[in-house]
Order: sequence, then C-alpha cells, then structure tokens
Amino acid sequence: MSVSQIFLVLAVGLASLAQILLKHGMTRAAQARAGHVWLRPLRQPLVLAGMSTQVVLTCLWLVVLSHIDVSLAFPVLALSYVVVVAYSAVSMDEVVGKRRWCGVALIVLGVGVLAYAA
Amino acid sequence: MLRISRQSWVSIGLLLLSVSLMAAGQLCMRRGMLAFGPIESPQAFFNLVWSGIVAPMSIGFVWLGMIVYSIAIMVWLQVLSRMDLSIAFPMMSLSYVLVYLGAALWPALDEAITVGRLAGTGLIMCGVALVAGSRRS
Repeated sequence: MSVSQIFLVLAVGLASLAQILLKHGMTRAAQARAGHVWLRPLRQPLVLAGMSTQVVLTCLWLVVLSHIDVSLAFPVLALSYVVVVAYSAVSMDEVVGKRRWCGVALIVLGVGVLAYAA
Repeated sequence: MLRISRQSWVSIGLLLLSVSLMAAGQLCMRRGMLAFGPIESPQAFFNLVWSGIVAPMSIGFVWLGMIVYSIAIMVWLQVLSRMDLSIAFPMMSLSYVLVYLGAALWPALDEAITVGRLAGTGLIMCGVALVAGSRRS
C-alpha cells in the first residue's frame, strides 16, 4: 500500500469516527439540561472532539485528493456509511434491518456511479 | 403505511434543512473559489486567507459558504440528538444529490448533467428512501 492509499483508509476511519463522536456527544447533550439548546452541544467535549476530527479529516482529504483521482477516492469515502451503520448496530443498540442495509448499499453504489460519471 | 409522529416530522425537517444548507454552503464556496481561481501554490493559499481578512467582500461567496456550512453543522447536531445515527448519517448523502443538481442549475457554476450523474443521483435517492422507510429501533 502506498502512503496515499493508507491516508484514504485513514480518511474513512476519521469520517466515521467524527460522526460517532458527535452522536455520543449529542446523546449526552440531550441529557444535560443546562444552557440553550443550540449552544449546549458546544459544551460537550465529545462534540468538540468530533468537530476537530472533521477538521483533521478535511486536511487529510486534500492530501488524498492531490494523489488519488476523485472518482476513486469519493466512493471509497462513502464506505464510512457502512462503518457507521455497523457501529450503530453493534455498539449503540440501534436495530438495523435488511431494508436499511440495502439502502446503505444503494447509496454507496450511487456515490460510486456519481463519482465515476464526473 | 408508515405512521409518522409530529416529533419525527420535526426531525425529518431538521435533517432536510441541514442537508440543504450543507449543499448550499458547498455551492457558494465553489462559486467563490471559481472567482478566486485555482490554488496551485502555498503562496496562493496565503493570498486567499489574506484577501479574506483585509477585503472580505472580494471572496464574499467563500465567506457566505462557510457561514451557511457552519449553520448546517449546528442543525446537524440537533438532528443527531433526535435520530438514530444509522438513519441520519446515510441520509446525509442527499447533500451529494443537491450539490450535483445545484451545480447544474446555477448558471455561474454550469456543470453538465449527464446520464451517469443522473443514474448515480437516482441510486442515492432510492437508497435514502429505503433507509428512511426502514423500521425504527
């Protein structure tokens, strides 16, 4: 694996991690009653960590795009939908049925077609 | 038929708002960067940041896009506090559809509509419909 391929895999991981951190942070924010509903999230360390992860991801993504064609990189990034849904099912006790998995598969396929066409 | 509670309608409304704002933010940033020109050196990136500070209106669309995108993120956090992550996150892919449509329809961006892009857009929308219609936990 080349460095840019490793970065691409890392980008999928970071994109997934960001959403997972934000979700956990917002679950806590919903329990904490202090502060205004729109400002409450900014007091949650996990939300701030999720946002920081997104910033790091953006920088990494620019590096990836300078080495790998967007028509390959973009669909690979869409794999983060699979990672996040799998995590939600296993670790957050969300019930993910066949229909939702089929939906995720179609989305990943669609992003692939969109990127290939562009 | 699916029965959708009032609370769910609010969640779905917030999700659509967030995704639309994300797409609008992306399109504005693209519009602004088209006017600025491609960044091909660290020097050009410095110029972008510098003109953004001393003459904000010269890259007004970039600023507008970043403001709209920031609002989208705040709305997204509200979505996450209301919905299952395994439903909300895949539905974020609707923003790809909106960006491709917006880029084709906004004359200043003028990106081509092709059969391939329409097919990809259609697949994503079918996927989103399946995810949205799947049983809640």
